[in-house]
Amino acid sequence: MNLDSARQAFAAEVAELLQSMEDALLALEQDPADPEALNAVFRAMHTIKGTAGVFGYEPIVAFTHAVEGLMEQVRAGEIKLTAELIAALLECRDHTDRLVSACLAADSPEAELAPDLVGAGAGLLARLAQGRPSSASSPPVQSKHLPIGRDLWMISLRFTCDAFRHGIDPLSFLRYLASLGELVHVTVRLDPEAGCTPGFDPETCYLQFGIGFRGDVDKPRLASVFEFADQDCEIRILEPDSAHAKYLELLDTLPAEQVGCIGELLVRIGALTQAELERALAIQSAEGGQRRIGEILVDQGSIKPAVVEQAARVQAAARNRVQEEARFIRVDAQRLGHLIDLIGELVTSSAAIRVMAKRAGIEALDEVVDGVDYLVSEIRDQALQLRMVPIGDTFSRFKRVVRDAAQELGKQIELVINGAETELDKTVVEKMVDPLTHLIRNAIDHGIEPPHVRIAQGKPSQGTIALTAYHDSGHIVIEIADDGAGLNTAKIRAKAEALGLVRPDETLAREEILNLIFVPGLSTKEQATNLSGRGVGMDVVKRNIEALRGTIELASEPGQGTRFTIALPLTLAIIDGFMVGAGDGQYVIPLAQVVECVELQPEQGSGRHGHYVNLRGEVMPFIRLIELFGPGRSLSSQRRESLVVVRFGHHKIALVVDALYGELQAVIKPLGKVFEQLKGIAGATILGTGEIALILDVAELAAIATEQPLMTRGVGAAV
Amino acid sequence: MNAAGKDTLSDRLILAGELTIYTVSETFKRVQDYLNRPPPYILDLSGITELDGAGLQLLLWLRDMICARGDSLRLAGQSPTVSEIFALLQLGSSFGDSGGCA
Repeated sequence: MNLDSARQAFAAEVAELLQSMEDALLALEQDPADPEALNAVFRAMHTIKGTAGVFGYEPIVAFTHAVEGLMEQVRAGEIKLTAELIAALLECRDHTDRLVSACLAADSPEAELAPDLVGAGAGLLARLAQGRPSSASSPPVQSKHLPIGRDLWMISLRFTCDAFRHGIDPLSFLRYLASLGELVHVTVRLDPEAGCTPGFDPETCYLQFGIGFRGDVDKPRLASVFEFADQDCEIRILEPDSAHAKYLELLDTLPAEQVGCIGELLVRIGALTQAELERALAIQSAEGGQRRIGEILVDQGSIKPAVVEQAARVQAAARNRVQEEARFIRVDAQRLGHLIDLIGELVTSSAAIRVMAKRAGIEALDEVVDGVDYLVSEIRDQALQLRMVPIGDTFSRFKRVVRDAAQELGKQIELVINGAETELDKTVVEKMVDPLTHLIRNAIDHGIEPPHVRIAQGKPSQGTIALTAYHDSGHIVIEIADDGAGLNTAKIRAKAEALGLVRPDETLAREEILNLIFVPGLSTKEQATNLSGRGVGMDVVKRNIEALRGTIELASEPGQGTRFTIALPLTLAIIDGFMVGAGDGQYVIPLAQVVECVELQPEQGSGRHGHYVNLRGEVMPFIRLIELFGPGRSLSSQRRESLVVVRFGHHKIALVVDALYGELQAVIKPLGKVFEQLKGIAGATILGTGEIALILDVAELAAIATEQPLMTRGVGAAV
Repeated sequence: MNAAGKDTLSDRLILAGELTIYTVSETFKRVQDYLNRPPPYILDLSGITELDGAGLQLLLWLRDMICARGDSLRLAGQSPTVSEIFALLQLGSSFGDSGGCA
């Protein structure tokens, strides 16, 4: 690995860690005591510090070290995590991000950082220091005053009957123990089972001790005190809570390769002695291995349940990590793109082979071609799958956007995420970040009202923005819904009229007015804020989405909220298509959007002025492809026509075609600039015969079909 | 406190010298005999020179037996050896003047 790729790996690792730190901090805002989240923040800083140290990026090391130190105190319960502190930590996260970028951009690790960056770091550290209790500078109040039990080792000793006969004097152990520290409290009793019976034998040992011990020792050291009596005494040593915290930390920092069996893990960090482990293992094998070792250890009183749980988690995490390291490889996105391009060519070539095979009329060849076709489609699916990523990673970054913006505006907003596991082509995901950010900022800024307004309207003071993703007929649908004020149609219309987009006497449906917000230059907020821009946004959002062959729809009810629905094709490259013919042209419809094909009865299609067809009681608009794309050719009424019902979201329309050719794999080739204005066409594909077929854009067709009365018929005339 | 004035030397169980695993069987007999007489029960340990776990256990047993009857055991004297061990085991109060039934 050369240094550059190492740096890239570092940058990627930092990005992941900072993301998890951010998630954890946001979780801590809800529950400041969440131990997993605390650990995640600590680990992020700790790991970044370590790696930055390898590269010699001193400023990163210094800064993350300070934050790590603070987190350590937070975890130990010495510092309370306040909202201010979390806010400061979030900024520390951002600062770390900037530091890393600056260090990576610099020519050498020793390069001087920009003074403002240095200043910002110092300022943040000063803020963190404010969060510390004042005693942090003076030595902390010593543990003498801590509540009993918190810092005490609890030791229980039960001697066996023969202890005296074996020459064991229990008192000598206690004397020795007292020399190691302080016996804070001691109880001594005779085994209640045997002690008070007349059959008392003075030479049999019934002694039992309970000891609260305070001293600077670890568990193995304590166990060694009683080592000599191991055969004659049942010893239980429970660590104090403070040691407990130390174990949890040790568990956290243990390198993955050292994580073995849970028992060994606990012995390694000193939470368990070898003897205790052996005893538990003996019990386990005696019981026939029915119980887990951790359970036995807890029962046996050797260890606290929380430590076992944490150890189990560390063990599982280490296993996962090892597995993941083996399971995942990072691949250059360009290589993947190239692979997919090649597969596109392969699809086209294999279609050409099919055509040639048909012409040759060799039956055996057909079979081979079928096999190849199947493999090609499998390869295509697998290759496209490689680029699929869950959209949740993108969604979760909006938590921060919502949090920051809501605080700035003094609003209370909760972001609800649904369908985070929905997968989408990575290139599409990346291009969706900006539009989504814009829509969410809009919802925060214009949608959700301030708390007092909401309460006055009888809504909960906390607004909700719901971000939802799901799959629907070959598309991924992303919804951004808020329960805010909704769009003010009157204002939009007034603005549109002022801009000359709409004539004052024009009647517009509510939906049409709402859609005006996608027109360039229209912003409904009189006062532009620095959050959601200056009204240059929505048209750009729409353009970005359309560039991905997606669509955006909008619904809004006054007082109820606004919902944007974005539908995007799953992938940009290759689709399963259904080919139809109309006139001389061949057209491909994305297969996922085809609902059914039926024969068109002559009387159904005859109504040339009403563009609606009644299909088994369901009325839907229809489009004659030949009318839309080939007006030059006269209609031959004797031809049998078919109806292809296609679906887009909740729209259903019918396409009237002359011929049904069947399914094929279509590699989408973009049309050149000349055809950019062409409505209803998403691209073109090359057929096996070398001919070109146009790929229909069902969403646009649906729009054309529903707007038909208003539409100017010259749109498709270019073809 | 009924004890201080009334008790006579014969009420006392005086244990002295070595009270260890080596002597505990012998002492046990004396302790059993002592338990067969009526209260008060007063234990004098001022002559103890050595005390080990077995000896301590016998003392605890004696205390427990008396307590189980609803009587109490009073400690009339303890040697430095005994004091040291009682202090170590924080037994002072349960062997104290009040009889120390737990």
